[in-house]
Amino acid sequence: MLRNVIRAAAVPRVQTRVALPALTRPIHISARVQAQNTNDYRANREKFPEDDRSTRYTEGQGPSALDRASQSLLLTELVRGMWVVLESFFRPPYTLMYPFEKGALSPRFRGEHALRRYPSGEERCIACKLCEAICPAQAITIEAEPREDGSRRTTRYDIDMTKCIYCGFCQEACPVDAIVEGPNYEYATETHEELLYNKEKLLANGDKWEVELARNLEADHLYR
Amino acid sequence: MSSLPRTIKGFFTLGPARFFRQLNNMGDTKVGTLVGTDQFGNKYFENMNESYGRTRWVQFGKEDSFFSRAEANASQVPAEWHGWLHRMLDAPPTVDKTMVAPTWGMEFTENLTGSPKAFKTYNTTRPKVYAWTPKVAPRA
Repeated sequence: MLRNVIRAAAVPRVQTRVALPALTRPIHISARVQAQNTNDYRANREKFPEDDRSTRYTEGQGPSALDRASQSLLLTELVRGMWVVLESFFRPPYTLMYPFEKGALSPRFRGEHALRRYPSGEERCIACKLCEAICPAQAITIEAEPREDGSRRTTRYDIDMTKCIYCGFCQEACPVDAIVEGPNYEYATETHEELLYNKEKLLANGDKWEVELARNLEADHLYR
Repeated sequence: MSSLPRTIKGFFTLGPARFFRQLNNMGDTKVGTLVGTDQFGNKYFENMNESYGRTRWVQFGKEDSFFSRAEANASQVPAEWHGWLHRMLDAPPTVDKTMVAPTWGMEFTENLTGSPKAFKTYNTTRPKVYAWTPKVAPRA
């Protein structure tokens, strides 16, 4: 109640004079006209009428003191709350039986990381280190060397999955769609060491999930 | 078990064997059409008359039974079926023939943590620091 009184008192002062630079003299707008045109719902009750159940305090409206006293004495709020509980008790539950039924996921879901390959099987990552540079948690470590055929590849691509904050900047920074965050989130481990992913693990993830990774990228390619 | 009428209805629709099997695993009786089976024996069902979010479900191939403890695991759903089960895709891979793993793809494995096959991280680079092996000059 006290909060409502404070909110009603906090109506901003209506400015009656508006100076426009294009006009030679300031035009005068009456307080009544401006109160009609305002978008402040607290200042104009005709434009923003309220229903009877509003708890906002306005002068001369709302329940009388007798009504309020009877409601608080008879604990009607408690009874109404218990009625909501009773209603929900007889409704079918919304429980999802998790490992059997799963929640909906977006194609943009950012889960476990994976390093992808080209359709030929050649790994995509060219060790540009943009993901390493943009990673806000500094979870990625990359070392690169020329391969035997002279192409630039990583020798080390480590992600500390316990440092990662799953912001998705790495996949946004990647120019060749090599590092992606896949749809898998069921990779919880028993030890910390298992979450220190190296290049082989990330490539294996990509090989396992490539069907869905490619499909998710395809679903989102118009917005990238 | 969601409600008594639903459970009784499920008993008569599913039959006693599947009824108890479902109650033992899922804890609910669900009736639906079989959409497909994956390489691990997981069966995927759909019933669009279920409440929102419960329309698709999986019956794992490795199920808890009277003789064996539960080996079913949420990570046993392979990548082909994962999107359909999570309601990312409309069509199951039995209908959508483009959902095929590439030839260089790897066999799908569940989350192997806690097993001997669990991932153990290792270094993928050559060592950069070598131990110094002292060479003693022979005394003259």
